Amino acid sequence: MKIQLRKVIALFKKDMKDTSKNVNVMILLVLPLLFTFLYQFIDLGGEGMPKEFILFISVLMNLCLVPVSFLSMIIAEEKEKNTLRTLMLSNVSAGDFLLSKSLVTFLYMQVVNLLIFFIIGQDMSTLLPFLGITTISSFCMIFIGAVAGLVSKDQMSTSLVTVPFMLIFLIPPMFEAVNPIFAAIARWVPTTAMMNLYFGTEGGPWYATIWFQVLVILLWTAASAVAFGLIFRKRSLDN
Amino acid sequence: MEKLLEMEGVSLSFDKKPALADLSFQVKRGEVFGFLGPSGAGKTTTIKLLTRQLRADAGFIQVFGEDIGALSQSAFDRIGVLTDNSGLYERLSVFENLKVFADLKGIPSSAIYEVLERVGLKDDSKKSCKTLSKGMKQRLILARAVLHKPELLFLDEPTAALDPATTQEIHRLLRDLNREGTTIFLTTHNMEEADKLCHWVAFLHHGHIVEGGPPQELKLKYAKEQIVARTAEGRTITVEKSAAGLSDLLTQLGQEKLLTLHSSEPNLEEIFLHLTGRELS
Repeated sequence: MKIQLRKVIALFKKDMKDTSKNVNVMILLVLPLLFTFLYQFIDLGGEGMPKEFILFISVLMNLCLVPVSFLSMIIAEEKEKNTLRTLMLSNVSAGDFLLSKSLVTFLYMQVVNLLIFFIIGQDMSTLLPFLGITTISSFCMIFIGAVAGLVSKDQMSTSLVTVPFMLIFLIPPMFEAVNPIFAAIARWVPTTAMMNLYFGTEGGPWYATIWFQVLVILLWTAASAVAFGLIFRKRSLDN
Repeated sequence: MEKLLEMEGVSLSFDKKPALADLSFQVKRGEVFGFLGPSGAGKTTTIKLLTRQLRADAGFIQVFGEDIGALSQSAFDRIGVLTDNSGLYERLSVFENLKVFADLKGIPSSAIYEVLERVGLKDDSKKSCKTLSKGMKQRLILARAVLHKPELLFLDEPTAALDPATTQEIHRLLRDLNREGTTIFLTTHNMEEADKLCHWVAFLHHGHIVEGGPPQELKLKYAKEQIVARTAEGRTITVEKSAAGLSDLLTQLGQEKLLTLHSSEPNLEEIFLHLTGRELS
């Protein structure tokens, strides 16, 4: 996949300007922050919700909404409005196009993650590990978001691809403590692995080790990268 | 003269239905080459093949003297394209839309103002694309296609559904661009546009070229060998286009005043109708 730095920078500037005026996708950035605020006011018999739980839920939501939904919608919009075709006819490679969109998405995702981190008042000593772990975990989400954008013919239909993945990434980790089936599925989901790495895992069963969490993230990243490569190659020409 | 485009024996089908059949033509550097045909004739398909958006089933295509399959992606820096589905970034302004492509091609911002002046959009540079009329959008898309002064310009029905005033401005710009060295490949079903702009026209019908040549030569080729005169008294006299015919005309005219005198050359639409039994639009 060919990348030209000048073109990526030009596209990055355009994508930042364009997405900042796109209410449909900017709302996806606001939702995790909104929930972060709301959870602060939930009263559980005199005590608020644990900070770790608020962090867990808010970051999960951010990782599902931004790399998966946000990215797929901004790719699909360019296809829908025929601007992608215009870019390709202007010597912009698919690599330039997707890298720019992924960088914009990643930047927004991490800004929201940082805001969540500071709103909740997490310990500053965990900031770098938090950013590192969320970065590594986001790669497979970005590939999935890119795949959804490539296969969808317009913005509306991206949800057919993104919603199933969002449910897989959100539901099992949220309910693993209360349901053994969700717990079994959650072990194999990258969002669970991400949270286990951040909050620390105390060893014990094989699926609770650090290496297993890393393996899960790597497997999802590899599988989504392969899917992306195959679909990207298939979709490059009209016929 | 150097060939910039060449198609030889090109065929393409969609779901087993032939769209192009054994299509062959050449476009020389500096020409305005017109592809004339009704909707569904294969004009847009031809442009898509020449710009590598589609792959042919058979035949070969060369652009800038290179096989299209081996053409480097950087060749698109020498090409400009305007099609009916060229998109704009609606949330960005006129200037911002062109700035994206100026940055992509490493062109200074001063060139943007220059091209906006040429298409008559300089005073609208800050307007959001959402608020532009169809004619203004078309001029903006054309500005984007010529911003980098391409060697080769593909225009797919550039003035379709535009008002006469805007059409005239676009024609003026295209003639200026051609004089400055841009080779233009133009598809249209507007025979007047082809007649005004093109050095060479090719008639496309059901995916293959039925006739081609300079417009004036085609008109002479299919002209009836007749001269038609109208007198002030409302009489029409038709004679053979020859010395004997002219002599006969003078005899028939007598003392009557001659109002008009025309050789019976068809327009391009009449030629197309004669060749295919079908109108252009």
